[in-house]
Order: sequence, then structure tokens, then C-alpha cells
Amino acid sequence: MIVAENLGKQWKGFSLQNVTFQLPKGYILGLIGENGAGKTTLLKLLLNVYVPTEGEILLDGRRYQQEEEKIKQDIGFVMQEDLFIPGFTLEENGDYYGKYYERFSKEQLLKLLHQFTLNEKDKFGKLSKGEKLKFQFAFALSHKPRLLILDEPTANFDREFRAQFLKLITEFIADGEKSVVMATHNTQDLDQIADYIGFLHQGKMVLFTNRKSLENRYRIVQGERYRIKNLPKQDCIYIEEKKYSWKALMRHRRWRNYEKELEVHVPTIEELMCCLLKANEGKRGEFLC
Amino acid sequence: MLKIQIRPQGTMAIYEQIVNQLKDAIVKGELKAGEALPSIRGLAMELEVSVITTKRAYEELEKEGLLRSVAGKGFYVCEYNTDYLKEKQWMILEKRMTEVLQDCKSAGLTKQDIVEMVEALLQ
Repeated sequence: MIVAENLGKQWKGFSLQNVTFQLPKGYILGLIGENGAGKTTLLKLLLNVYVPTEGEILLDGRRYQQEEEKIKQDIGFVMQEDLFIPGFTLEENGDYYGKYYERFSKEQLLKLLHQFTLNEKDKFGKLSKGEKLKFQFAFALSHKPRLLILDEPTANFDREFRAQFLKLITEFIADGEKSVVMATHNTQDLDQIADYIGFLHQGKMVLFTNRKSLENRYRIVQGERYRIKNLPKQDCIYIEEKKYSWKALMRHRRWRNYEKELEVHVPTIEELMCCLLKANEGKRGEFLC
Repeated sequence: MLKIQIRPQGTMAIYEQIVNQLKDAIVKGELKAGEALPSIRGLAMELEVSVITTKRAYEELEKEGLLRSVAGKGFYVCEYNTDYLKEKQWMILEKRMTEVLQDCKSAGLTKQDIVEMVEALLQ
């Protein structure tokens, strides 16, 4: 279980404010938001790379201030920075960093490297961006973490590997004991597997919800302009005016029926994010969602 | 073995796709009364979908009386009346078909046109 309470980090010109959420163990949280919204900052706070200015983090009931060593044993991560030694081979990197982790298994690492078609004799520095992420991911899994923290892990993955990645992630949480926090721009990766969605905007968590309430709460409705205009105004969050058909993001109500000529579906995460961002463009005060 | 196919970009929510396919499997007798279903987490892993999705699908089927949950054990297919389910399915299809046929008539299609279209689509 991850608990973040009133988490904040102040920088010059940027701040993350009042981030509060709880992720029960056994689930996947997808973090979404524009560049600079605070996704990476939040992940680095969870990793204790940054120390929060306010608030606190509890990971399985532990605090970094008291049990940093134990917590770190339990966390595997993939970040955008190259954290391994470029002149070392993958195997040497594994040996070198693996010794810091009590549960590190070299066998597991080599198995994953082969599965990911990486050669353990290659130098880390020679790898492409995508291969470096693969190696980080393989290393993260091979010390048997309880929490995976992933920053844009699939950014440079080919399609085939992305499928493998999603499989590994769903397997990882299958025993109900572990969790994943993943920030990504490839929101398609989240459409299928994320149990919770956290939407960061200008340093604030403007939406944190589980999949069920997300599916209950929103609909995309498309159709002729006059039909869209007839939709109840108070529940229209955003309307996109296109040439032939209009598209609305609606706050859905359980009892509501839409005209059958309208096309209605649960928004993908991408659609939801785009519509919410546009609905709040240039707006001050409370985030409309 | 149970086969469920997920279309990620479908217009139907994933939990609805699972609900419908499980219902079909029950009507067709591929899932039998008393049979145990995969665990919520097992199915989520199998299909590579979120745990909340499979949980919701089972809960919906439980509400409809097709599944029952046994605390600490999982979900089982209920004793049900297959004929009743079949009849219900036929009713829904008939209603939809009526709507489509009505629309065809309004659009000026003849009986011949409609039959040809159906035959072409069935190929």
C-alpha cells in the first residue's frame, strides 16, 4: 500500500502541491499529464531521490526517515536517466548493482535479458535508448521488488516488446501483494491494465480515480451538432466542434439514456485527458472534471 | 478452456466485453452450472487487463444471478435455466433486428435489397 499525504515539493518556478492518494497493494496506478505536470517529480519523491518539502509518504507502512534501507530493497524502478555504468557489460552491471539487493537473482536477470533479446556481454553504454530501458526493467524485476516505479518505460519500446511488457506487469501484480506506479505518455498502455489513474496538472493531482468510477463517470458522445447541443448543459464538460459531427465529454449519470442516433462510448484515457485539458485551458481556480 | 477476446479499442468497455462473452459461454453450455471460474486476479493476468475490470465483470454477472461468489473460494456458475437465458437473448436480438429492419424500410430498401445485404454480410 502506498500512501501519499499532502505531498509537496517546491522548486524555483515549479511546485508539486498537496498530492494525496492511496494505492492499495495488488494494483497498478497510471500517472498521466502533460510534460512538466509533475509526474517525474512525484515518482522521484516516491523513490526518495527528492525529499518532500511538505507532507509524507508511507510505503507498506514504512517511512524513508526511519527505514530507508528496507524500503529500497523493495523498490524496482525504471527512470529516464542512465543509472548504470556505461563501460561495464550488462552482466557486470548486474553483478555490481545486484550486490546491494538482498533478493537479487542473477539467474533471473540473465533469463530476462535473453527473453528481451539483450546480450549480457554487451556494454551498457553501447545500447540504444530502448535497450537501456529494457535492461533497467530486467534489473528492476530481478531483485524481486514489491513496488515498481516506472517513468515512461515504454517510450522507446517496439510494439512487440510493449506487449511483452504489459504481460510482465500484469503477472507482477497477480499475487495481490505488489504494486506498480507508472507514468506514461503512451496512454494506450494504461487503457487496458491500469486500475487507478492519477492525473497531474500544473503540479496538482486534479483527478485520482479507479477504473470503475472512471467508467461510470464519463462518456464521449458524438453526433450531429443539434443533438449535442440538446445534451444537458450542466453535465457537458467539454464540446469539440468539428465540421460534420460534434463531440462532447459528458459527466455520465446512471439513469441517463442518450438518443440512439448518438454514438456513445467510455472515453479512452487519451480522450479523457485531452478533453479535460481543453476544458480547463486558460482557466483559473478549481479544475473542472 | 474458456476463450475470451478483448478488443482494446472497442466501443464497449472491457468489463462489458467480458460480461457478454461469459454470458454467451453460459448460454452455449461451454460453462456449466457449478463450474468454477478463474480467479479475478488470474483472469486479469490471463487477459492482461486491470484487476478492477475482471472484478467488475464478475460482480455484474453475480447481480444478474449467473454467477455466485463463495467467500474465500471464488466465483461459480449458478444453476440456471438455459432456456430462459436463450429466450432472453433471442428477445434482445429480435428487438434489435426489428429496429434495423425499420430503418431499412425508411431508407427505401426493398425486401430483396435487405435479403441480399444480409446474405452478403453472412459470407
